[in-house]
Amino acid sequence: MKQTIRQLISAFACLLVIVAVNFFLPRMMPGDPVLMLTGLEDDLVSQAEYAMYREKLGLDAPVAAQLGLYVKSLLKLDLGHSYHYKRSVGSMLAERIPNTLRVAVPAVIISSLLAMLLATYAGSKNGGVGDASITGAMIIMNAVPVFLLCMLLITVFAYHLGWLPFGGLASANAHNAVADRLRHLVLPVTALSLSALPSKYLILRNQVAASTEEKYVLYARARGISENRIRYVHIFRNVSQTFVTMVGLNVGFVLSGSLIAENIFSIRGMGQLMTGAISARDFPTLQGCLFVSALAVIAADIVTRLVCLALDPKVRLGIYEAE
Amino acid sequence: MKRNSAFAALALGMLLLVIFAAFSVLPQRIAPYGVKEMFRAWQPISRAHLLGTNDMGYDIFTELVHAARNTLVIGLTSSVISLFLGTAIGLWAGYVSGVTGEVAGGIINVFLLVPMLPAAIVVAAYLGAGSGNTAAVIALLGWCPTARAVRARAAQLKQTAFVESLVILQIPKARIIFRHILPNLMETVLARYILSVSSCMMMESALSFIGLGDPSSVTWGGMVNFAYRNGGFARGALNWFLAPGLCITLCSLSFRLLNTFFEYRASLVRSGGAKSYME
Repeated sequence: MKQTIRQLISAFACLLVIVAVNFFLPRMMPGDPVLMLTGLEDDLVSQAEYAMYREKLGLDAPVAAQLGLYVKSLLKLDLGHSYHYKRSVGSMLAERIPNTLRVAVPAVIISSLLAMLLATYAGSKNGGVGDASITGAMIIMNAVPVFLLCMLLITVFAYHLGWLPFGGLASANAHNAVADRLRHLVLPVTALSLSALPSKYLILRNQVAASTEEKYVLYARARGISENRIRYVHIFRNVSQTFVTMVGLNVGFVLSGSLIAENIFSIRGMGQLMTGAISARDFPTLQGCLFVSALAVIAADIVTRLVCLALDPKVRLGIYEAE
Repeated sequence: MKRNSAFAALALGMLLLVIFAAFSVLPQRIAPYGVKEMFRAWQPISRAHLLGTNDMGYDIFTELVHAARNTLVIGLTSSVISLFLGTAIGLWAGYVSGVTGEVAGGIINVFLLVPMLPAAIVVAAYLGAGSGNTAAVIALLGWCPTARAVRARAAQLKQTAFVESLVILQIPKARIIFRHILPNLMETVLARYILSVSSCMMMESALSFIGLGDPSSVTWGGMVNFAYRNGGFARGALNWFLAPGLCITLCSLSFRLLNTFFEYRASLVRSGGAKSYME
């Protein structure tokens, strides 16, 4: 319990760190903070515009007052204004986030389930052929960068075989809208799931392999309980806490992967917004994206902690926390 | 993990590393052409051009060999910096008790949660393109796993009898930390370092792919980025984007294979030979 509270505090502190980075980075960088905050080019800004922006951003006020204003606007969910797109960052994100979620959420679910199934199978066959081949494949897959995976999937399944669309989320004139949308999701979700799978698998497999040597497994076997029941009921319950933690940590990873995958699959999500903002030097948009991804990761972390608390009586009652 | 497969992993990892090290130490000897030599564009794989040429007519294999050094240098420097940061903060958090220790532990927990790629993109976008900047960004965001591992081990070591006796002997704290705890951490730190090189390289390739790499010193990630932007991917020119992509994969894999071997060795030490249910 104490541990959980401590972790909740650090989740909140992480949010503060992100806010601080967003606030201080443009003001500390060498160069003019007005240009850094608006992303405008030095020679394209007239004197009058410069003065207008400077006043609008409140850069003449003391830093403490600026920080107060910044935090106040964040609390009102105002993420700033993009001078490149001439829109509020919040409205652009609201438009883009659902598309990112459409790819990221299925990827988290599929990769977690696959990781769990494969890990319980391979871990309980510790050292066998099945274990060795799955683990070997996962170690290799762990080294493949997500952009390469996306490009390979497109080359094979869209370019050469022509089974699936190259990108986007829907075709303009589809007969069956639902099936069409699903077809568009197959490749990006596969790419993200495959990239998120190995890290989770490898940790879970080791945990399962270690628990097969525990006494409760020996005892269950002595009672004549079937191997499958031992594997998927007894051992599963014991590694479920690691599993939930892994899923929570994975949200950030999938989000990062989706930043890249969206560009390759031309999905109008947050990742595409971010890469577009880089070339346009659109710092308010970049900061908004960072803030929202941090929020997502932190929310996932908090949910994870609470689920772990509900799952594991050892954590809930604080029995093993004395160490 | 069986003995044979552990040694196979070691051999394969070393082999790959030696190849890439040769690429980066002697690029002029290995590459068939000069970096700026130009040929007819869009040539397929042939005897004269092992991987064909790109849209500008540069030989892709030559570019690949020359990019090895940039990629490895960024990966190695950023992981060395993050190693120092991680070890220092991890030691502090693991050994020092009381408020400062709590604070250090808190810092580690906080930074573990920061979403890596988005944060790296924002910081790198502010700093601007440049190999040094890329390495710095990756190091600043990549030290947490090392710190966490070091903290756990340092906290463990603190409980051991030999450290307790040092405390009883009134050996100064700094001396205990640096002369007695630090040498015992070497194994943990080295294991983390190997993995950290791999993850730093992956991070670098992701940043370069997005277009935040240094345009003047091209890395493998940067090569994939060029191939993607300049039509190599749309034309299905596998020789152009797959080759650097595979190099990133193999290089990162080689470090992970070494790690597999060290994990195997560590597991031998831990289990101390045969295992039994009777304890």
